Amino acid sequence: MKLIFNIKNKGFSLLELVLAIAIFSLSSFAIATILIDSNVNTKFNKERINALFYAKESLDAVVSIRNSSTSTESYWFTLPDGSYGLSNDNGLWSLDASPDIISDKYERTISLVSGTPTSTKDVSISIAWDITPDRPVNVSLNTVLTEWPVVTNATSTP
Amino acid sequence: MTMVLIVCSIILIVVTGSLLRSMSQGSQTSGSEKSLKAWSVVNACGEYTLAQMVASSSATTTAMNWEFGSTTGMQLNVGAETCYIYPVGAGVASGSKLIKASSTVSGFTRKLQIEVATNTPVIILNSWEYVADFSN
Repeated sequence: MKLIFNIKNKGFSLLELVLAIAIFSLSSFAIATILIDSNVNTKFNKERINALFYAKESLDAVVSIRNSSTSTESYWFTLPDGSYGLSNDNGLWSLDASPDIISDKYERTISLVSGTPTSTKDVSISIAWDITPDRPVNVSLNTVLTEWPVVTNATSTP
Repeated sequence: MTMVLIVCSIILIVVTGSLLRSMSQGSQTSGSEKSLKAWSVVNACGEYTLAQMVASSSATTTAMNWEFGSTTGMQLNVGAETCYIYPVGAGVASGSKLIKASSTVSGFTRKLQIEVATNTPVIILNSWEYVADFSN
């Protein structure tokens, strides 16, 4: 009589099976988390690049508005401190009374505060948006812009 | 067994690639943002210095006032960032003056050099340059 046990076909014990399922689940969860996070970050970075572009464009637009002031008491000089938006009409930039929305996503706010010397204004440009509904972010640029036409007229007076 | 190893390797490559791409993009975007912030802040220092020069000259209506920031330089706060205005020195052109300003935002530095021909009766600039380093 021959009694042979084939160890190779023994199969898994319950403990091995549970352990294998646990390792597989944890690995799958970790991989899914990394992939989702990477995708969210990639989307965020893409949106942040757009926001940076809009911020730079806005700063250039504000400089253009400042430069277009030509009279002695110019438009720029008499602008009250506050928050503004921007609009472009036939290639000509102008300030709006309230922050504007770009591409139905980014809220642009231009803040002007009188500085020292009085011919200067502190300019702050903020582009805010939501990566997800509960995750608001923003990029901002700050600079100082001087009212040159007024200064020029003042100094040219003997 | 071989198939399992191949599938795991592919998954690992995809996940690692995705992670590295995301990190690289984040680093690039962050660098662009800091560089742009440094640029806007150093411009603020330039405009501020010129405004101070002109304001000084129009207040006295006498000879050119080049003394602004000429001894120790000064630091200007612009929003959450700062820029530094160096002592005003002599420019390349005869009688001109050189404004130098720099701003560093998280390791990203922008430097601005403005040569002013005169600030009386109106301010005239010879040059407005972003430089890697100051010429003198």
